[in-house]
Amino acid sequence: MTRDNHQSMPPALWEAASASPAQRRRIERIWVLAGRAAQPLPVVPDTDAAWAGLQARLDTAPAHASERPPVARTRWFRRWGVGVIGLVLLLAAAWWRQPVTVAVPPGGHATVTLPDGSTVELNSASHLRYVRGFAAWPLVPADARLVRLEGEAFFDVVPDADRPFIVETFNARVEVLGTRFNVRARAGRDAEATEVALVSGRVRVVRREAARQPMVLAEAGEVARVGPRPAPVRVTPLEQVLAWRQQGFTAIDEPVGAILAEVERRFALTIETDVGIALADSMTLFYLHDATAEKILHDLCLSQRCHYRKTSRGYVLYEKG
Amino acid sequence: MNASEALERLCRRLRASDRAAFEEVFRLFRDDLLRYVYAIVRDDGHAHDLVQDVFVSLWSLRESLDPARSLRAYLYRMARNRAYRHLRDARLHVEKQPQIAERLRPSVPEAPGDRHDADLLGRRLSAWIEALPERQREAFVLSRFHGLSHHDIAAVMEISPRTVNNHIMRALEHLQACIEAFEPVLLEES
Repeated sequence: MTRDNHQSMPPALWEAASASPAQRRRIERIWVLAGRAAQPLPVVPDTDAAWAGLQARLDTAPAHASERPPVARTRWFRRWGVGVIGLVLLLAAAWWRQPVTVAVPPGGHATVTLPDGSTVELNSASHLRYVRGFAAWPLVPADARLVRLEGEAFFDVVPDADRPFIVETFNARVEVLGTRFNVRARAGRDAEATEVALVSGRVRVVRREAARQPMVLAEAGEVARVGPRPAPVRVTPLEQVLAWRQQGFTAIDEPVGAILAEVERRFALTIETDVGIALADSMTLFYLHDATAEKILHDLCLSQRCHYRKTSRGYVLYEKG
Repeated sequence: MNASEALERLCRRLRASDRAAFEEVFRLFRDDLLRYVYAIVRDDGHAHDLVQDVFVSLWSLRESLDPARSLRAYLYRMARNRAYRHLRDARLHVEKQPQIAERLRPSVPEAPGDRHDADLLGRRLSAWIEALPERQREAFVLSRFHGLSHHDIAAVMEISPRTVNNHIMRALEHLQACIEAFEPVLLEES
């Protein structure tokens, strides 16, 4: 009756049917037979008349009122949408630039994952600051990965050849690609130094006001010290540098005053000292793990020949006799 | 250039408000759409009006056409929506005016002819197709008589191409059973 009767069977039908060849032929036979079913055409004006009628309708009603909205929306969008999108972008950019601060109180200990996947383990009384723009996003230009540190932290940096990872302390800059290292930056009255110890990889340490002479650490255990006086790179056993991560405590050849300040930060207490205590004397203390304030003060007093007593807020150290 | 590329080109010209392309589309699809809509609404006048509406609507929406998507599926879908909307509205009237119900009841057309046996089979087939479950029938008719791909049918009926295939296979199996009961000789391989 019509060309429809010659419509061939769509190949998708075989592909989906896991039929045997015999079944296939049967199905195809049905397909062909079914073509005999009439698909009657209604009794209507012929195509030319219908086309003429249609053209008349299009000319009298160029566009249906009900079908205008898309155009109207475009105009509204042009006027207001651009402004709204601009505002949203501006807010996003501001948020993007907003610094994030992680503050660990005295006595605390925290691990932070940065937006790029690098992790930072922070010792007591330490601050870490970074901007959200840190994370690399498609189409959004990302700055260098820059963090500012006050205190002590262990960094495990995810490699990214395009964007160096930079740790800034009050007096030094540590530049790395992908690596693991410890930074200790305490700016107190007793000691002013940034110490960087390398665990793996390679880092560059520069004094912030004298960037010409970088110290490069390439071997595990190497320690660079940026203090009041220049010091060469030395090698330290890593378990000493990293003991704080297992609640250990390390002071290598440090003034008593600096050690006491560190104990105060670590255990969130106050230590008072009598005039007789020699705060400038250097000494070495090392606990691989689970140090307590009492244990440290006990050992410190043993070598300094002094006594300690518990107070309501901490301890007081006083001279023998 | 295959058929779908030709349609894509027509679609692009249509988007650019090319009246000649519109006429081509009209002449290409009008008869098929009339058959399709008529099978649903069973009324000559309404089938004609609904198909005219489809083309008016196509013209007014021409700028928003996506040439990457099937124009054929788009037209059938518009036709289907209009036909079923019309049917729903008509049913509301039927409750008040029972005489329209007679007109809406599907009827197998009388086909005069000298090849009596063949026409008998044709009439039977029409009745069997008419008796298929609604979704199966719809998928089968679009595939068998309108040449829509599984993808186009899926877009028209808003189901997955896999389901389309299942519907068509079921319909064919059902028809096979019907033919077998009617005249098994027809299925023998020659």
